[in-house]
Amino acid sequence: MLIGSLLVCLCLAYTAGFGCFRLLWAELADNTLALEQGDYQSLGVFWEAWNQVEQHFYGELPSPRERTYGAIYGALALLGDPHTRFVEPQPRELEQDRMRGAFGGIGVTLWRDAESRMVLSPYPDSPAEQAGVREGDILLAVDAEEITDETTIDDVRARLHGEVSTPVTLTISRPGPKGYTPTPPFDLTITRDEIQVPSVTWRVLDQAPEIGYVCIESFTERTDDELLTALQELREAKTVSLVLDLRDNAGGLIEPAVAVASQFLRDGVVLHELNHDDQEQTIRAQSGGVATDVPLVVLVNGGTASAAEIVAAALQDHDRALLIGETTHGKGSVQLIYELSDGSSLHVTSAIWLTPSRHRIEGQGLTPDVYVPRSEGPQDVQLDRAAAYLQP
Amino acid sequence: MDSTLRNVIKFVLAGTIVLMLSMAAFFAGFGSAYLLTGHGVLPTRSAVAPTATPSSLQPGETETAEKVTPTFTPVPVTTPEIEDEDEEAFQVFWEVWDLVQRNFYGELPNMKEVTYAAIQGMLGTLEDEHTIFFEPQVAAILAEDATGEFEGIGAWVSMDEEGKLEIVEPFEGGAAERAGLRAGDRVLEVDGVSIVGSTTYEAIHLIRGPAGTDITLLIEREGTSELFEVTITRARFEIPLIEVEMRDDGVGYVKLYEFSATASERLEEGLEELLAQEPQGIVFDLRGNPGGFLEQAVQIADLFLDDGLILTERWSDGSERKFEARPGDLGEDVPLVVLVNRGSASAAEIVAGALRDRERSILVGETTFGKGSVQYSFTLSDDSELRVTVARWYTPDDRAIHGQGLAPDIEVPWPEEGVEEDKDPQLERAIEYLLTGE
Repeated sequence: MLIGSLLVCLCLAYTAGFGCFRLLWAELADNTLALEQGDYQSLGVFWEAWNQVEQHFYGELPSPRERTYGAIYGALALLGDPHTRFVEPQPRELEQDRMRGAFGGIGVTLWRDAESRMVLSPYPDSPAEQAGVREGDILLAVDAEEITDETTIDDVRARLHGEVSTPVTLTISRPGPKGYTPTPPFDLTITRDEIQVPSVTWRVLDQAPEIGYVCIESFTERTDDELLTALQELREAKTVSLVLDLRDNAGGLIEPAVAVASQFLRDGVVLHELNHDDQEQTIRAQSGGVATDVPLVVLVNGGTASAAEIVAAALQDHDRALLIGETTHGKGSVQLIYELSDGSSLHVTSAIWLTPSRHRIEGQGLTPDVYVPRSEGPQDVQLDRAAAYLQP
Repeated sequence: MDSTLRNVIKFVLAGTIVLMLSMAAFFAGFGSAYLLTGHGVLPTRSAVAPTATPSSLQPGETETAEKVTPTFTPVPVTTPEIEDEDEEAFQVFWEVWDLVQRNFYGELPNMKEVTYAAIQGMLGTLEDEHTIFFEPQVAAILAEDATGEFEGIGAWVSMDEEGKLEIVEPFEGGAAERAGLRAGDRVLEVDGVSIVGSTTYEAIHLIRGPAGTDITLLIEREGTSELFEVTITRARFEIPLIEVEMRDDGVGYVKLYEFSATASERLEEGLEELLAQEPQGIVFDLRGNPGGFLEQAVQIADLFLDDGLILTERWSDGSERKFEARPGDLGEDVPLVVLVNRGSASAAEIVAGALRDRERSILVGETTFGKGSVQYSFTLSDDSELRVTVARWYTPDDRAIHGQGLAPDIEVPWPEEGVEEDKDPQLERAIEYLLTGE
C-alpha cells in the first residue's frame, strides 16, 4: 500500500517533469517566432529560384549573403514604408557612433572636391591636427588601402573609426601654393582617441544679450547632459529668455527627446505612442525640469523631424512655447532598431506618435504659430523674429 | 528514546526520501522529454523555427524544368539541395521577417507576395536584366503567347502614363475591331471591374477568356465626352507571326515577327508558297523581331543552310554545345538578303549571324540589338516562371555579339525625319542588291 502510493507519486512526478519541459519548449518556440508553417511553404518557391540560379547562372554569382540581403531589400520594399529598412553591417557601425554621440577616431571631416579628391579638414586639437594633418590635405590611402573614385566617404569614415588608442596610417599629399606641384605622398600615423560629437551648441545672442540661444542638432545619449550645461551657463550669463533651435534636427533617440521636453515642462503628457496592436502608451514629462518658467520660442523648419517634432509639439500643445518658422517634416513614426546575428540591423516602424492633443505627426508635420520662411541671404530672419518676440 | 519522537523522525526521514525520489523522477521526466525532443522522436515546434529549410521541398516534386521558352529547350534538373552555407547566410532574412511580423505598424503583405518580392530582390543582385522572374499570372499569359495563339478580343495593348490600358491597334478583322474599338481607345473597366492602375498583365489576364464568352468593356475615347460600353464576344486568335508577299519586281518578301513555337513551320509554308512562284531572290525581314525559342532559330537557320555550324553555346563551367545544320531543306539555294535593325535581338541575331558568317546572305539595315545570352526557363512549383541566363552564344565565326550586336554588310539607316507611307529605304536597298548583285 505504502509502496503503491510511492510509485504513483513517482509516476506523477515523472509525468510532471516531462510535461513541464514540453510546456517550456512550446513557450520558447512561441517566443522565438511569430512565423507559421505556411510561411516556409510559400517561401519554398524562393528556394527553387535560389537553387536554379545557383546551378545554372552564367556569370559571377554574388555570395549567399549578398543574395540574402537582396531578398531582404525586396521583401521590405513591399511594406511601402521608407522608415522600415535594413542596414548592412558596415554603415551600422557608423550609425551606432552617431547615436552614442562619441566614437574612437582621429577627428577629421572629409569631402570630395571638384576634382573628386578626398580632402581632409582636422577638428581643432584633434589627434589628426596634433599629428600634423592640415586643412586641405588630400587623402590617398588609409592603412595602405587606396582611395579610388568608387570609395565613398562612409567607407573612409568606417576605416578611420576604431578603438581608442589603436593606430591608423594615412597616406597624404599636400597641395602646394597655386602653381606649385603638390608634395610627394607621405605617411602619417595617428593614434585614435575618443572624439565627441556635440549635439548641443549655445550662445548669448549678440543682438539681445538677455536672450539665450540653444541649438540641438540631434538627440543623442548625451543631449540631455549637454542641454543642462547649456541652460546653466546661459543662466549664469544672466539671460532671461530662450530660443530653442530645432531647425534641421532630423531626430535621433526618443528618450533624450523626452528628457529635453521635460526640462521645459512642469508636468503633463509629452506624447502618446500608438503601436501595431492598437495599444496606446502615454509618456509624461519627468519632474525636475530646470527651465519650466523661462519664456521660450522654438524654431522649426522642414528639416525638423521625428524626435525633434515630438519636443516641438509637446511645447506647443502645452502652450509652453511659440513655434516660429516653417511647417515641420512630418515623421511621427517610431522605429525599433534590432541588431541581427551577422552585425546588420533592422529598423522597423512599430508605432506612431500622437502629440499631447492627439494630433498625428506622421505625414502632416506641425504648423508653426508664426510662419516665417527661410531667407536667402546671410541674415537669419527666423531667429530675428524669435528674438523680436522675446524682447520686452 | 521517546517513541513519539522516533515516529516523528521516521516520518520525516520517509518524507524526505519520498520527496527526493519524486524530484529525481521529475528531473528524469524533464530530461527524457528533452532527449526525446532533441532527437526528433517527439514532434517539436522546430519545424517552424527560422531555419529556412522549406518543408515543401521534397525530392521529386520540387520543380519541373519545363517546356518552352525564349531561347530554350529545358534540361533535366537535379533535385536542389539547400546548402548549409546558404541556409546560414539566409538566417538573417528570417530574423528580419520575424521582427517585421511582430512589430510592424501597418498592414503586412501575405507570404506569397513576400516570397515573390524576395525572389525579385535576390535576382536584382545578379545584375543581369535577362534573369527574370514572372509571377504565375504573368507566366500563364507568356506561355499562352508562346504558343502563337490566344483567346481574347484581338488587339495590341499597352499601359499609358496614367495607368490606363490603351488599345494600340486592334487586329485586322478581329473581334475588337468588329465591335468598333479603335487605336487610342482606353479601357477603364472589364465587366464592371476597374483596371485603372493595374499592371498590363493583370489587365490582359482579365480580358482574356474562353472563346465564345462575352466581355463588356468600359471605354474612354478622345473627342467623345461620355464613357461608353462595348460588348465583345471573345474568339481564338493567332498572334500575327509572318507576312509573305510575292512582289511585282520578282522578289519574294517574308517577314517573321517572332520565334514562337510554330515559327519554323509557318515560315516553311510561306517559303514554299514563294518558291513555287520562282522568285529572283528572297528578302527575309527580321527587323523588330525580339527573338523567342532557340530551337526555332536553329530550325529556321537550317532551312537556308545545307550543313555546317549554326552557333556555339558556351556555359559558365567552360563546356560548350554546337548546333549544326542538316541538308535537304527548301531554302538552301535561293538568293537571300536578311534585313535587320536595332530591334532584331536574340534568336533573330542567331539566324542573321549564322546566315552571314556562313556566307549564305548579307545583312542590310542597322546594327542589331546585341543580346547574346541564352536563358533557360523553369516553371516553379506554384506555376511561376524563372528565366536564368545560362550561357552565351557565338556565331559560326566565333564572334560574341553580346552587348555589341551584328553590324550590317550594307548599312541603311532609317531616316531620322521619317519616310512617306509605303516607302521603305532598307527594303528597297535589299531588293536592289538581289536584282543587281551589288
